[in-house]
Amino acid sequence: MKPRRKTADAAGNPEGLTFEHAIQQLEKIVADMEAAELPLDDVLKNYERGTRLVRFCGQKLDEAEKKIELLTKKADGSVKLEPFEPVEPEDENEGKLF
Amino acid sequence: MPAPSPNQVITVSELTRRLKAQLENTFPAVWIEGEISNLRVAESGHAYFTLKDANAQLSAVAFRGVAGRLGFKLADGMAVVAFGEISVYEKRGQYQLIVTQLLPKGLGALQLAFEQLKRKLAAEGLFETSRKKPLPVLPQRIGIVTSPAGAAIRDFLNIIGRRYPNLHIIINPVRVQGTGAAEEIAAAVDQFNTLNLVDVIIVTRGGGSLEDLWAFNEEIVARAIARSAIPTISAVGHEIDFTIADFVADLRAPTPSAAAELVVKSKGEFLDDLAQFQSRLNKDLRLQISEARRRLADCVLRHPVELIRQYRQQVDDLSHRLAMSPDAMLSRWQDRFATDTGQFNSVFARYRQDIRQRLAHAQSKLDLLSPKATLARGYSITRLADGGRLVRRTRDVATGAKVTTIVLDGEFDSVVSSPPKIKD
Repeated sequence: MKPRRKTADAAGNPEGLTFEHAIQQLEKIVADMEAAELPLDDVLKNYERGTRLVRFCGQKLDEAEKKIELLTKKADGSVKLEPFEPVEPEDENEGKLF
Repeated sequence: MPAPSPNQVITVSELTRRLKAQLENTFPAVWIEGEISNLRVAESGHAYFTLKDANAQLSAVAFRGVAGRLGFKLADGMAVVAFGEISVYEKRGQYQLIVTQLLPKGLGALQLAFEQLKRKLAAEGLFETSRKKPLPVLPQRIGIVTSPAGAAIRDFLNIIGRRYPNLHIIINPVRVQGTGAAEEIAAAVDQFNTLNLVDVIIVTRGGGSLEDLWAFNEEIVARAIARSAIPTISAVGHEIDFTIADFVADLRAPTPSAAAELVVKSKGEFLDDLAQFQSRLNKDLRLQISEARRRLADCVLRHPVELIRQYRQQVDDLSHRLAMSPDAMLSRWQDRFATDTGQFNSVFARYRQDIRQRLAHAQSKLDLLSPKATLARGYSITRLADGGRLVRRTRDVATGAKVTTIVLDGEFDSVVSSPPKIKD
C-alpha cells in the first residue's frame, strides 16, 4: 500500500509543499504585504511568490483522481482494493415515489 | 459482660472518625437502586431524599448541579438507579449517599450500560476536547468504515460527488449491527491505521433504534477510535442520536450526509478562497506602487541645497529599478485569477514612463550643475599650486602666488602678477 505523502520542507519551491502549508504561506505573504512598509523589491518578490502559490494550490485541487474503492481481504490475509459500485436500494421504502 | 478497662474507652468523635474512614473508603463509588421517598428540594436547589427498599433506607442528597441536570422530574415513589459516594456527616452521626448521577430505573439495561460506559470513559479523559485532532484541510484519501449496502454510504457519496468530485475514497466494509459488528468496526479502524492508508476516517451508519446503533456504543469501538492516530469523524444515525463513538471521535457529524460536508470544503469554496488571495495580492501591489511613486515625488520637492546629492542618488536608484522590474515579471503574472491584468499592465507602464521621465530630467539637471558644462561655456577653475585649494575670492591669492588653472581639456600654471582687484 502506498504510504501517505510526507510534508516536505520547501523554502523557495512550492512544489514540495502540501496544500495546507501552501495556504499558510499564502496567508503570511498577504498579511506581510498588507501590513508592512516593504521596499518595492520585496513587494514584487512577494507578489510573484504569492501568485505562484495560488497557482500551485489550484493545481493541487485538481490533482486527485476520482476513485471510490472497496477494501477486501484476500484468502492469505492481505488486503486489496477494488472499484466500488454503490448497491441499488433494496429496501421497499427507499427509491420509491409512491 | 466484662467491664471495659480505661484504655479501651474511646470518645464519640474517635469512633465516628473511624466509622467515617471505614465507610468512605469502602464505598467511594457505588451504583445503587431504590425508591425515592421524603423528597425535599431546598431553595438552594439541592434535593434531599431517602432511598429505600423493603428492609432498609439510606439518606441521600443530590446537590443542585446534579439535580438541575437530570432530564426528568424526581418524585416520591419513583424507582431509580443512583451513582454516588457514601459520606459520613460527623456532627449529626449520620451517613448519606452523595448522588452524582440519577436515572429512572425503568430505563432499561442498554441505557444504563450506556450511562455507565460514558461515565467510565469520560473519567479516563477520552472525551476531552484537547484530545481531538484537527482534520486535514485537503485529504488525499478518505477512509469510510460502514456497510457497503447501506443508505449511509449512498448518501455520503452523493453529496461528496456534488461538492468535490475528484477525491480518492476507500471503503472498509463492516456489519453495522448485530453480534460481532462492534468487533468488525473496531478492527476496520485499526486496519486503516496499521496500513496508514488514509488521511481521515469516517465511521458511519444510518438511523435506527438504540439496539440498532448499539455497536457504536460498545467499548471496543470507542477504544479503537480513541487510539486512532488518523483523525476520525463519527456520523451515526440521525441528528438526535448520540453514541459513545460520537463522544470519542475527533469530530461528530450529526448524519452521514453532514459528514460529507464536514470532511472537506467544497471545491467551489476552495476556488473562491484562492481567488480572494489573488485579488488581495493584486490590490496590495497596486497600492504599494502608487505609494512608491508618491514617495518619489515627495523626494524631489526637498530643500534646494540637497538637490545635487538627491538627483545623483535618484538617478542610481531609478536606473536600478528600471533594470530589474517590469517586463520579464509582467508576463509571468498572467494567470486565471489576475482578472485585472490589463489594468495592471497600464498602471505599470505609466510607472515605467514616469521613472524614465524623471531619469531624463534628473540627468539633464545634473549635466547643468556639473562642472563640465560650466567649463565648456568658457569658465575656468583656479586652484592654489600648493595645497590645491580652490580660488574663489580675491583674498584667496596675493601677488606672486602660484596657481593652476583648469580648463575644459586640461590645465596650466601661472603666477599672480599684480594685486587682485575687487569688483563692485
